[in-house]
Amino acid sequence: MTELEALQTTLEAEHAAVYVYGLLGSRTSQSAEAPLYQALRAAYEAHRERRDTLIGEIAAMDAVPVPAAAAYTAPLGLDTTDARYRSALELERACARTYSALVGSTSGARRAEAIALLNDAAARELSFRGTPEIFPGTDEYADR
Amino acid sequence: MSDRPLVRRRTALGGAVGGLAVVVLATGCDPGEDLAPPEDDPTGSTGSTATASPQAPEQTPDEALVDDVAAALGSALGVLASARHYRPLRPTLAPLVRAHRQHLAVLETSVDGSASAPVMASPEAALRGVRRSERDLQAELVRAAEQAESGALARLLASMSASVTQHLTLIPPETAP
Repeated sequence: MTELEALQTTLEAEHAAVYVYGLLGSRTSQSAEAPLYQALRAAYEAHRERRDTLIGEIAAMDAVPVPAAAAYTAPLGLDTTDARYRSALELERACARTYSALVGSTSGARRAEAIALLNDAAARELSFRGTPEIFPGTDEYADR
Repeated sequence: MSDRPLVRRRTALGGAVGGLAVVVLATGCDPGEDLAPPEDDPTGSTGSTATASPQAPEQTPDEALVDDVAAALGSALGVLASARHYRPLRPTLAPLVRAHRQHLAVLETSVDGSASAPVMASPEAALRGVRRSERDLQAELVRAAEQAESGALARLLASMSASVTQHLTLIPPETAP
């Protein structure tokens, strides 16, 4: 995967993350589910900022940033607080895997940024009831 | 004596790390490149090359990174071993110990477990030492991931740094004295 392809894949993931976090936030009570709401809000803002940064970076490479999809499939079963926590955790883990792929496809300052994103996603997983993993963002070493 | 733990069995990158080793070696220098005798040396031998062992190929930059990371993991395990002297800390620290051991296992490297740090004066001091040690380790993993020539090795090291980040987050925060 080229660096540009990896950046475009990451941008696709950010588009989806912004959509899903927005959806989760809209279904979460700011008062009755304050910890979850705050965590979702922080995640939404972080991913929106990354999306915008990526759009700028890709455009600066004389490429056309991939647009958001016309529609996304909403996660099922978001009726309970637990379900929304689970959905957010799965989403952040998926983002971590995307950042991990970006690490492997980049070098220099871009790789440093991808490493920072992976670390941030790993830490954010804990705000969605995640527990520490041995190899966040990768699947191939998980069973060792 | 150096505080750096002794790497006892160093087969990392020589074995298979899920294809990682192959990638790392492929991106490293040709180990035979610098071992050839100089062309203007009619004897084909110099004082230094005559004693060079064919069993010790030149280390690639990525292999050196893995050695640095193994040493850092060994130091962190030493600090954890010292902190575990205080029984109440053991449940908190056990996941970190497991993670570091699995990280060493994936690198196919082990370190001398006897290189533990001095026992701190109190559990609070021991936890402070662990936090400091883990922050140092996390920074070393990030540095190594940034510098790795192999993308696969960079991913692995970055993942390890993220694991340390997660574990660090769950270590109880320092309280004011």
